[in-house]
Amino acid sequence: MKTMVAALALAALTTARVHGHHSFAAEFSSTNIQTIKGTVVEFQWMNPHAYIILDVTDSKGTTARWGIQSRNLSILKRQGLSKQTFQAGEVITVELFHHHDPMKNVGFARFIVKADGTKYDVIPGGRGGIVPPNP
Amino acid sequence: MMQRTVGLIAAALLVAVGWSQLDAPAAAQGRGRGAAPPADAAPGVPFTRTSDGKPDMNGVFSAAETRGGRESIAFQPWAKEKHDAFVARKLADNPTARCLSPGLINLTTVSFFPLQFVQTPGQMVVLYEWDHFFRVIPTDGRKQTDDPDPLQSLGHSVGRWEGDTLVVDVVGFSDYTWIDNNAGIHTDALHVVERFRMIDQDTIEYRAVLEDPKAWTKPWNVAATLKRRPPADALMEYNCSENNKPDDFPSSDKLLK
Repeated sequence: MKTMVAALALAALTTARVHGHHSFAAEFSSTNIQTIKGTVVEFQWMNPHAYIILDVTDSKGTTARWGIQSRNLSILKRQGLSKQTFQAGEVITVELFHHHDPMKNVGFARFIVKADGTKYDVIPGGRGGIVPPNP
Repeated sequence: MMQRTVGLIAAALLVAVGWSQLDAPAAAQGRGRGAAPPADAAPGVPFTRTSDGKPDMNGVFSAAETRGGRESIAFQPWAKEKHDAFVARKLADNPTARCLSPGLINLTTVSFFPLQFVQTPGQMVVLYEWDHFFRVIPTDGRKQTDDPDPLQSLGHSVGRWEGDTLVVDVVGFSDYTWIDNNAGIHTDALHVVERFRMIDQDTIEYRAVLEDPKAWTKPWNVAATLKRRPPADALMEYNCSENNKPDDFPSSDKLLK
């Protein structure tokens, strides 16, 4: 039983983990676009990608933790974001490109909207909805 | 009505003042500092010249967004096979995914990473925000090297002015870059001729013709419009390998419940 719990925990960990630099196309679907709303756990302002860790509660009251990748800091800065843009505890809505594996709570941010309606286009240079080259 | 009038006046002012004259905060209010400069803006103010009479390209520029496809590379069969295999693997092998060089064309034409021209008599230096790349392009009349060793991801560049166009010849490429991001493989036989032509103070037309007799069946043509960034928009750092530890990135304690 203990082993099984450990195995499940490991599986959960692997599922939730987003990892280093990679090819966008290898990781994310450019057609499976999801919109999720949740509470910011942490906004990680760093290169080569900023991350948002987001808790999303569904209609049944179950909370899932998402790892959302974004662009690097120079791009985000030019799009009007800063280290202070998102605070832990605030509710945001994120439109994202879902991971190829729809069971993974991992995505790449496309638009991020704050509760007051402020909308950030975090993929500048997108060509007709197609994601540009991964930096 | 009032709003519309104000809008029209603002639009007229914009045209009169020119996009480059907008200060960053004003631009930020409207479209964000990263809003792509319009590719088809009305002709701007004529460009100035440097002390040696060349078009003055000094400044920070970025490629305007382009819609529509780009010409595909015509691969020889062996290269097509390799290219197709990379595509089948969803481009996971992209060198940039390992923080390796994006190559000449991506550095110049990907809209969200600006580049800066630093022009002195006899030399053009190009600084790229994307991963700190740079090129030093002599324009002092020297010939292209006949010994391009060591091979470099951005090759060896030699420039010359043809009228108001800076023409840059590049050889000696290492063979690992994807010269177009979609598995645009090439060999060390790659030869690039770039043309930078200043249209007005805020616009440079970029054209490049690329040939690779070992991997491609015909030349590949690339074009982009480079627009001047707002005056306050300096190059920033983008260091791909920063924090890049595959196994504990990002700080994964937050992902564990």
